[in-house]
Amino acid sequence: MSERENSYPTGLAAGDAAVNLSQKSDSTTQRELWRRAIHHRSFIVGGVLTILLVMIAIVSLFWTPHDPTQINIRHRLAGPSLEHWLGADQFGRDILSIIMAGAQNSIMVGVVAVGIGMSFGVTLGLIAASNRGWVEELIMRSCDFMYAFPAILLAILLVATLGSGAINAMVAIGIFAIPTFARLSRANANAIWSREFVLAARASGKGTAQITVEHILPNIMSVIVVQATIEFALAILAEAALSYLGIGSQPPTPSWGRMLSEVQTLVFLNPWLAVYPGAAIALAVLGLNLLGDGLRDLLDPRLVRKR
Amino acid sequence: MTLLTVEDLTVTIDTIHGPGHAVRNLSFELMPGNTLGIVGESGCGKSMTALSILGLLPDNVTTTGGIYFDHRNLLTCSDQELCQIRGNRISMIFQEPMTSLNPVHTIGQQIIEIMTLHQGTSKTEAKIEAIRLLDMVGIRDPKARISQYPHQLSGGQRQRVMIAIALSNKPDLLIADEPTTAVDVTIQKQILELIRSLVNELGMGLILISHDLGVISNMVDQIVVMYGGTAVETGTTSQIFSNVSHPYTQGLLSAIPRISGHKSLRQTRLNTIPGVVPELTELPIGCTFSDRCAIASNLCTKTPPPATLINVGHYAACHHLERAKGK
Repeated sequence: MSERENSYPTGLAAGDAAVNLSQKSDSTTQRELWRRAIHHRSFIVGGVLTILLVMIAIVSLFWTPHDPTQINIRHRLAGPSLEHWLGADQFGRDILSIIMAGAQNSIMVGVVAVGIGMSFGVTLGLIAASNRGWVEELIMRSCDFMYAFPAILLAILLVATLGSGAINAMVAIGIFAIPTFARLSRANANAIWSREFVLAARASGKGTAQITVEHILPNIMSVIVVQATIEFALAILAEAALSYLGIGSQPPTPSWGRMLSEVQTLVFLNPWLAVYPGAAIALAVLGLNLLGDGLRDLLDPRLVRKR
Repeated sequence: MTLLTVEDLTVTIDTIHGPGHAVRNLSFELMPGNTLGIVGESGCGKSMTALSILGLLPDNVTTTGGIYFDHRNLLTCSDQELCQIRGNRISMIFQEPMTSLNPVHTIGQQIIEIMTLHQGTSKTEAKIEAIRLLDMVGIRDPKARISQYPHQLSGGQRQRVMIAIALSNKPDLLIADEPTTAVDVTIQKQILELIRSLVNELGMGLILISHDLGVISNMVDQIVVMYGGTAVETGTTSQIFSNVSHPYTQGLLSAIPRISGHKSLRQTRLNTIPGVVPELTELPIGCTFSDRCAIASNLCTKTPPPATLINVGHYAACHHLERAKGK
């Protein structure tokens, strides 16, 4: 793998050696990454929790122990039993079924909100990084402006104006993820723009847009993916907060946040009713955050080089 | 008909300490297929000159004068026009092979995309051509190398890939900005040999930028010696080496270590030019070299010296050429 191979007696031998070496190094880097991944505790725990969340949501699409909207007054506030594994709520609905179906809602919120935040945010960040001057100022100062207010407060404002509902809540949460992605991608894109291979790309006749798509974006993708997992967790949390306040997803759609708000008067009567959705939210958010942390450690090239 | 004419080029950098004159009133001409070397210390404006030819200077820099290529003044061309020239008619090789390739694309992709960009070649044709180019620049087993990433290549190999990219559209002019500074000495020789043979073979013009007068002397027909953003001496290689006229060029030549003769290296002291290159914002009003020159007079510190004709095509910008000769 060096200039020295030019002195090999026959081209064929040198070539073969080079191929073998490179394939080995390619698969060793992958194996190395995998080895570090399975030894990374937070990556594994986060990954398992996240996969669990997704699996529960998928299973609930086809099967739940009971219909999550089925009211059965006879079983109201029933304790755990074989029929209702986690018991039933104040309307006699099966809690396990609601929790499972609520996972769908949380994932939906995460996907839509992160989708909006990432697509607009990254685009704006890349535009700001490639157009120095007033365009950059305008975009970044707008982001600063949005940062100046607590996100949840603005989301409430937005939902209050547009009307409450699951979709509006998702959009509101997504909009407030835009500045985060914009700042992150601009900062990282600026660093890439000053790299020598970008100058080389310009010297070979590529325009700004082409360089942004071909050179800048692939180089900042790992940072964006990490941020996306963390924003996903934040979106779940924000949706729970909005639903708790009654302006998120509306009944009868199962939602963890609304479960909490519905049982708040019953907390002293039957505390478990609040524990289940609370634990579900906490575990989902914890899992995604741990996954994000783990991914950052694994994908950060600086840390790779250090080891 | 000249290939490239640089006329009275002045590059000014807007800094917080005031305007910095990176290049002042630089003029030179390059004929098609000819080779030109620009030599000078760090910060003398060599790279700025190269970047201004391609219009790649940062936003806080203003250029005046003219750079004429193909009947057009490159300084007044729009960005789109420049994009068609860059990488197609004029290519550039950079100093740092380790960072000049994008780490996330294979080297094949990076060569192919330049060809498809300018010539509209199909991907399959471009791939065959890329393999041929890699073979031409001396990379063993190009078919396997083409799908590798830059981190799998050594520094010398990456510089070869950079050369392959620069040559992929058969440019009329190749600018090599210190192409061998970042590679070790044995590779340095191979890379320079490669550039020289390819330039001869393809009939390109070459501008080679270096701080090493020894490297330059073996490679090019014409030399521009730069100091503090001005050309202090210009001429053909043989003219300059047979009649070293400017005190700065003399200083550069005597600062080349020589391993020869009866005296061991320990006994001979290496000559140096005293002082350091002045800040671009605080260049002397007169001759830029006056504060380090042994024969500088009052005149030198006040009036910039005109380029004096020594021989046909050989100029030196010095007030005291006679005295410099006697030294």
